Amino acid sequence: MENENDIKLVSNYLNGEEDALKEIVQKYYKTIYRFLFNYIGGSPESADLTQEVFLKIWKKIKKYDKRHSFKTWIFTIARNTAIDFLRKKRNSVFSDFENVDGTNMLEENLSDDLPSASEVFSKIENAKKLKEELDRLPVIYKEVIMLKYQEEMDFGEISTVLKRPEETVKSQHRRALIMLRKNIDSSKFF
Amino acid sequence: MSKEFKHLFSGLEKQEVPLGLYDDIVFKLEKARIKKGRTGLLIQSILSITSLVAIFPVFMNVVERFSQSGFFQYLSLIFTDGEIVLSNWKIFVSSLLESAPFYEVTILLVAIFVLLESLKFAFRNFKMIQYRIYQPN
Repeated sequence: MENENDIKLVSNYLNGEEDALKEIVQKYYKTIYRFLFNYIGGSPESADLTQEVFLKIWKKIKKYDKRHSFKTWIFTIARNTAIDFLRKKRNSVFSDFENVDGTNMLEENLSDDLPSASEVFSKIENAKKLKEELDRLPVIYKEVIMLKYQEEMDFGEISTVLKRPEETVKSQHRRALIMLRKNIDSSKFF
Repeated sequence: MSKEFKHLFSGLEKQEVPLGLYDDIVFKLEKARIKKGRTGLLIQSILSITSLVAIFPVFMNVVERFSQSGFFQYLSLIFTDGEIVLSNWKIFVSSLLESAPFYEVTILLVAIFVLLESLKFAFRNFKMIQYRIYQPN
Protein backbone atom coordinates (compact mmCIF):
# COMPACT_ATOMS: atom_id res chain seq x y z
CA MET A 1 0.00 0.00 0.00
CA GLU A 2 2.80 2.37 1.00
CA ASN A 3 4.67 1.51 -2.17
CA GLU A 4 1.54 2.07 -4.26
CA ASN A 5 1.28 5.59 -2.85
CA ASP A 6 4.95 6.19 -3.60
CA ILE A 7 4.55 4.91 -7.16
CA LYS A 8 1.57 7.21 -7.61
CA LEU A 9 3.62 10.18 -6.42
CA VAL A 10 6.44 9.26 -8.81
CA SER A 11 3.98 8.84 -11.71
CA ASN A 12 2.33 12.17 -10.90
CA TYR A 13 5.70 13.89 -10.89
CA LEU A 14 6.73 12.30 -14.17
CA ASN A 15 3.42 13.41 -15.66
CA GLY A 16 4.27 17.02 -14.91
CA GLU A 17 2.85 17.49 -11.42
CA GLU A 18 5.85 19.27 -9.90
CA ASP A 19 4.37 19.39 -6.39
CA ALA A 20 4.56 15.59 -6.16
CA LEU A 21 8.30 16.02 -5.74
CA LYS A 22 7.69 18.08 -2.62
CA GLU A 23 5.46 15.37 -1.23
CA ILE A 24 8.20 12.79 -1.77
CA VAL A 25 10.67 15.05 0.07
CA GLN A 26 8.16 15.67 2.86
CA LYS A 27 7.56 11.96 3.30
CA TYR A 28 11.18 10.81 3.43
CA TYR A 29 13.52 13.62 4.43
CA LYS A 30 13.44 12.90 8.15
CA THR A 31 14.08 9.18 7.83
CA ILE A 32 16.82 9.75 5.27
CA TYR A 33 18.44 12.38 7.49
CA ARG A 34 18.39 10.07 10.51
CA PHE A 35 19.66 7.15 8.49
CA LEU A 36 22.58 9.23 7.17
CA PHE A 37 23.25 10.76 10.56
CA ASN A 38 23.67 7.34 12.14
CA TYR A 39 25.43 5.87 9.12
CA ILE A 40 28.19 8.46 9.07
CA GLY A 41 28.52 8.52 12.83
CA GLY A 42 26.68 11.71 13.67
CA SER A 43 28.72 13.96 11.44
CA PRO A 44 27.35 17.53 10.95
CA GLU A 45 27.48 16.95 7.19
CA SER A 46 24.34 14.79 7.44
CA ALA A 47 22.09 17.69 6.43
CA ASP A 48 24.16 18.45 3.30
CA LEU A 49 24.20 14.76 2.44
CA THR A 50 20.41 14.61 2.80
CA GLN A 51 20.11 17.44 0.27
CA GLU A 52 22.50 15.58 -2.04
CA VAL A 53 20.43 12.39 -1.74
CA PHE A 54 17.24 14.18 -2.81
CA LEU A 55 19.07 15.83 -5.67
CA LYS A 56 20.17 12.37 -6.84
CA ILE A 57 16.64 11.04 -6.43
CA TRP A 58 15.35 13.90 -8.61
CA LYS A 59 18.00 13.26 -11.25
CA LYS A 60 17.42 9.52 -11.35
CA ILE A 61 13.66 9.40 -10.84
CA LYS A 62 12.98 8.49 -14.48
CA LYS A 63 15.13 5.39 -14.02
CA TYR A 64 13.17 4.13 -11.01
CA ASP A 65 11.78 0.68 -11.75
CA LYS A 66 8.19 0.58 -10.49
CA ARG A 67 8.33 -3.18 -9.98
CA HIS A 68 10.53 -2.59 -6.94
CA SER A 69 9.94 -0.78 -3.68
CA PHE A 70 10.50 2.98 -3.84
CA LYS A 71 11.64 3.02 -0.23
CA THR A 72 14.42 0.49 -0.86
CA TRP A 73 15.39 2.45 -3.99
CA ILE A 74 15.87 5.72 -2.13
CA PHE A 75 17.67 4.02 0.73
CA THR A 76 20.04 2.47 -1.80
CA ILE A 77 20.79 5.98 -3.08
CA ALA A 78 21.20 7.26 0.49
CA ARG A 79 23.54 4.43 1.41
CA ASN A 80 25.68 4.91 -1.71
CA THR A 81 25.88 8.63 -0.98
CA ALA A 82 26.97 7.92 2.59
CA ILE A 83 29.61 5.43 1.40
CA ASP A 84 30.98 7.97 -1.10
CA PHE A 85 31.14 10.55 1.68
CA LEU A 86 32.94 8.18 4.04
CA ARG A 87 35.38 7.19 1.31
CA LYS A 88 36.16 10.81 0.65
CA LYS A 89 36.78 11.39 4.32
CA ARG A 90 39.00 8.31 4.32
CA ASN A 91 37.67 7.14 7.64
CA SER A 92 35.47 4.42 6.26
CA VAL A 93 36.58 1.06 7.52
CA PHE A 94 34.71 -1.49 5.49
CA SER A 95 37.07 -4.39 5.65
CA ASP A 96 39.44 -3.96 8.53
CA PHE A 97 38.48 -7.36 9.72
CA GLU A 98 38.57 -9.05 6.33
CA ASN A 99 41.50 -10.79 4.70
CA VAL A 100 42.17 -10.94 0.95
CA ASP A 101 39.78 -13.88 0.51
CA GLY A 102 36.96 -11.82 1.99
CA THR A 103 36.91 -13.95 5.14
CA ASN A 104 35.99 -11.94 8.18
CA MET A 105 38.46 -12.92 10.88
CA LEU A 106 36.38 -11.39 13.64
CA GLU A 107 33.31 -13.31 12.54
CA GLU A 108 35.23 -16.55 12.50
CA ASN A 109 36.09 -16.13 16.15
CA LEU A 110 32.61 -15.31 17.31
CA SER A 111 30.41 -17.80 19.04
CA ASP A 112 27.10 -18.43 17.30
CA ASP A 113 24.64 -17.97 20.17
CA LEU A 114 22.30 -15.07 19.48
CA PRO A 115 21.90 -12.74 22.47
CA SER A 116 18.45 -11.59 23.46
CA ALA A 117 17.53 -7.91 23.40
CA SER A 118 17.18 -7.82 27.17
CA GLU A 119 20.64 -9.32 27.49
CA VAL A 120 22.08 -6.54 25.36
CA PHE A 121 19.86 -3.88 26.86
CA SER A 122 20.71 -4.77 30.45
CA LYS A 123 24.27 -3.69 29.77
CA ILE A 124 23.43 -0.46 28.04
CA GLU A 125 22.66 2.54 30.18
CA ASN A 126 21.00 4.71 27.57
CA ALA A 127 20.46 5.34 23.89
CA LYS A 128 23.65 7.37 23.66
CA LYS A 129 25.65 4.42 24.86
CA LEU A 130 23.87 2.16 22.42
CA LYS A 131 24.72 4.55 19.61
CA GLU A 132 28.37 4.52 20.61
CA GLU A 133 28.39 0.75 20.56
CA LEU A 134 26.58 0.69 17.23
CA ASP A 135 29.15 3.09 15.77
CA ARG A 136 31.91 0.72 16.83
CA LEU A 137 30.48 -2.01 14.62
CA PRO A 138 31.99 -2.42 11.15
CA VAL A 139 29.87 -0.62 8.57
CA ILE A 140 28.68 -3.85 6.94
CA TYR A 141 27.01 -4.89 10.21
CA LYS A 142 25.91 -1.47 11.34
CA GLU A 143 23.94 -0.85 8.15
CA VAL A 144 22.08 -4.14 8.52
CA ILE A 145 21.06 -3.27 12.09
CA MET A 146 20.03 0.26 11.11
CA LEU A 147 17.88 -0.86 8.20
CA LYS A 148 16.33 -3.68 10.21
CA TYR A 149 15.43 -1.82 13.39
CA GLN A 150 15.35 1.84 12.51
CA GLU A 151 13.84 1.63 9.05
CA GLU A 152 11.86 -1.52 9.87
CA MET A 153 12.82 -3.24 6.64
CA ASP A 154 12.56 -6.98 6.24
CA PHE A 155 15.55 -9.06 5.20
CA GLY A 156 14.39 -9.07 1.57
CA GLU A 157 14.33 -5.28 1.43
CA ILE A 158 17.68 -5.00 3.21
CA SER A 159 19.13 -7.46 0.74
CA THR A 160 17.93 -5.21 -2.13
CA VAL A 161 19.34 -2.03 -0.59
CA LEU A 162 22.70 -3.59 0.25
CA LYS A 163 22.84 -5.72 -2.93
CA ARG A 164 23.76 -8.79 -0.91
CA PRO A 165 22.08 -12.21 -0.85
CA GLU A 166 19.31 -12.47 1.72
CA GLU A 167 21.07 -15.31 3.52
CA THR A 168 24.20 -13.19 3.87
CA VAL A 169 22.12 -10.37 5.33
CA LYS A 170 20.53 -12.73 7.86
CA SER A 171 23.93 -14.03 8.82
CA GLN A 172 25.33 -10.51 9.14
CA HIS A 173 22.35 -9.50 11.28
CA ARG A 174 23.00 -12.38 13.65
CA ARG A 175 26.70 -11.66 13.79
CA ALA A 176 26.09 -7.95 14.34
CA LEU A 177 24.05 -8.69 17.44
CA ILE A 178 26.69 -11.09 18.71
CA MET A 179 29.40 -8.53 18.06
CA LEU A 180 27.36 -5.82 19.77
CA ARG A 181 27.09 -7.94 22.87
CA LYS A 182 30.80 -8.72 22.74
CA ASN A 183 31.65 -5.01 22.42
CA ILE A 184 29.42 -4.17 25.36
CA ASP A 185 30.97 -6.92 27.46
CA SER A 186 34.49 -5.74 26.72
CA SER A 187 33.67 -2.05 27.24
CA LYS A 188 32.59 -2.79 30.81
CA PHE A 189 36.23 -3.18 31.81
CA PHE A 190 37.26 0.29 30.64
CA MET B 1 12.58 -11.33 19.72
CA SER B 2 12.50 -8.97 16.76
CA LYS B 3 10.08 -6.69 18.63
CA GLU B 4 12.42 -6.60 21.60
CA PHE B 5 15.26 -5.45 19.39
CA LYS B 6 13.05 -2.94 17.67
CA HIS B 7 12.30 -1.46 21.08
CA LEU B 8 15.96 -1.52 21.99
CA PHE B 9 17.01 0.38 18.89
CA SER B 10 14.03 2.72 18.86
CA GLY B 11 15.98 5.11 21.10
CA LEU B 12 18.24 5.89 18.16
CA GLU B 13 15.40 7.31 16.12
CA LYS B 14 15.07 10.40 18.24
CA GLN B 15 17.80 12.31 16.44
CA GLU B 16 16.46 15.82 15.85
CA VAL B 17 16.24 16.96 12.26
CA PRO B 18 17.81 20.41 11.76
CA LEU B 19 15.34 23.25 11.48
CA GLY B 20 14.73 24.31 7.90
CA LEU B 21 16.15 21.14 6.34
CA TYR B 22 12.98 20.54 4.34
CA ASP B 23 13.11 24.09 2.92
CA ASP B 24 16.81 23.70 2.14
CA ILE B 25 16.13 20.48 0.19
CA VAL B 26 13.24 21.97 -1.77
CA PHE B 27 15.25 25.14 -2.48
CA LYS B 28 18.18 23.08 -3.76
CA LEU B 29 15.83 21.06 -5.98
CA GLU B 30 14.27 24.28 -7.22
CA LYS B 31 17.66 25.68 -8.21
CA ALA B 32 18.59 22.45 -9.99
CA ARG B 33 15.22 22.31 -11.79
CA ILE B 34 15.50 25.88 -13.02
CA LYS B 35 19.08 25.37 -14.17
CA LYS B 36 18.07 22.24 -16.06
CA GLY B 37 15.01 24.01 -17.49
CA ARG B 38 17.04 27.00 -18.71
CA THR B 39 19.68 24.81 -20.33
CA GLY B 40 16.99 22.69 -21.96
CA LEU B 41 15.08 25.75 -23.15
CA LEU B 42 18.22 27.22 -24.70
CA ILE B 43 19.12 23.99 -26.53
CA GLN B 44 15.54 23.38 -27.71
CA SER B 45 15.16 26.99 -28.87
CA ILE B 46 18.35 26.78 -30.95
CA LEU B 47 17.13 23.47 -32.39
CA SER B 48 13.67 24.89 -33.15
CA ILE B 49 15.07 27.94 -34.92
CA THR B 50 17.61 25.86 -36.86
CA SER B 51 15.00 23.37 -38.04
CA LEU B 52 12.54 26.17 -38.87
CA VAL B 53 15.19 27.93 -40.96
CA ALA B 54 16.09 24.62 -42.64
CA ILE B 55 12.50 23.75 -43.51
CA PHE B 56 12.06 26.56 -46.06
CA PRO B 57 14.93 25.65 -48.47
CA VAL B 58 14.24 21.94 -47.98
CA PHE B 59 10.57 22.48 -48.88
CA MET B 60 11.50 24.50 -51.99
CA ASN B 61 13.88 21.74 -52.99
CA VAL B 62 11.15 19.12 -52.62
CA VAL B 63 8.76 21.14 -54.80
CA GLU B 64 11.46 21.61 -57.43
CA ARG B 65 12.34 17.90 -57.41
CA PHE B 66 8.68 16.96 -57.82
CA SER B 67 8.32 19.18 -60.88
CA GLN B 68 11.64 18.05 -62.39
CA SER B 69 10.97 14.37 -61.92
CA GLY B 70 7.70 14.43 -63.88
CA PHE B 71 5.74 13.25 -60.84
CA PHE B 72 3.03 15.85 -61.34
CA GLN B 73 2.69 14.97 -65.02
CA TYR B 74 2.18 11.31 -64.13
CA LEU B 75 -0.28 12.29 -61.42
CA SER B 76 -2.29 14.50 -63.78
CA LEU B 77 -2.98 11.44 -65.94
CA ILE B 78 -5.56 10.37 -63.34
CA PHE B 79 -7.72 13.34 -64.34
CA THR B 80 -7.01 13.39 -68.07
CA ASP B 81 -6.76 9.68 -68.95
CA GLY B 82 -8.45 7.93 -66.07
CA GLU B 83 -9.41 4.83 -68.06
CA ILE B 84 -5.87 4.19 -69.28
CA VAL B 85 -4.55 4.68 -65.74
CA LEU B 86 -7.07 2.16 -64.42
CA SER B 87 -6.25 -0.47 -67.02
CA ASN B 88 -2.49 -0.05 -66.46
CA TRP B 89 -2.56 0.78 -62.77
CA LYS B 90 0.48 -1.35 -61.90
CA ILE B 91 2.70 0.46 -64.39
CA PHE B 92 1.17 3.77 -63.31
CA VAL B 93 1.92 3.18 -59.60
CA SER B 94 5.50 2.05 -60.26
CA SER B 95 6.09 5.12 -62.48
CA LEU B 96 4.76 7.38 -59.73
CA LEU B 97 6.99 5.73 -57.12
CA GLU B 98 10.03 5.91 -59.36
CA SER B 99 9.53 9.59 -60.02
CA ALA B 100 8.84 10.57 -56.39
CA PRO B 101 11.85 12.30 -54.75
CA PHE B 102 11.86 10.16 -51.58
CA TYR B 103 15.21 11.38 -50.32
CA GLU B 104 14.14 15.03 -50.34
CA VAL B 105 10.76 14.21 -48.82
CA THR B 106 12.44 12.27 -46.02
CA ILE B 107 14.70 15.23 -45.22
CA LEU B 108 11.68 17.52 -45.12
CA LEU B 109 9.78 15.18 -42.78
CA VAL B 110 12.80 14.85 -40.49
CA ALA B 111 13.11 18.64 -40.32
CA ILE B 112 9.39 18.99 -39.47
CA PHE B 113 9.69 16.25 -36.84
CA VAL B 114 12.71 17.93 -35.22
CA LEU B 115 10.88 21.26 -35.19
CA LEU B 116 7.76 19.83 -33.53
CA GLU B 117 9.72 17.81 -30.96
CA SER B 118 12.01 20.69 -30.06
CA LEU B 119 8.98 22.98 -29.68
CA LYS B 120 7.32 20.42 -27.43
CA PHE B 121 10.40 20.14 -25.18
CA ALA B 122 11.01 23.89 -25.24
CA PHE B 123 7.45 24.40 -24.01
CA ARG B 124 7.95 21.81 -21.26
CA ASN B 125 11.16 23.48 -20.14
CA PHE B 126 9.47 26.86 -20.19
CA LYS B 127 6.73 25.50 -17.96
CA MET B 128 9.36 24.00 -15.65
CA ILE B 129 11.07 27.36 -15.27
CA GLN B 130 7.80 29.19 -14.68
CA TYR B 131 6.54 26.82 -11.99
CA ARG B 132 7.90 27.33 -8.48
CA ILE B 133 7.90 24.43 -6.07
CA TYR B 134 9.76 26.44 -3.42
CA GLN B 135 7.68 28.99 -1.62
CA PRO B 136 9.61 30.72 1.16
CA ASN B 137 7.66 31.44 4.32
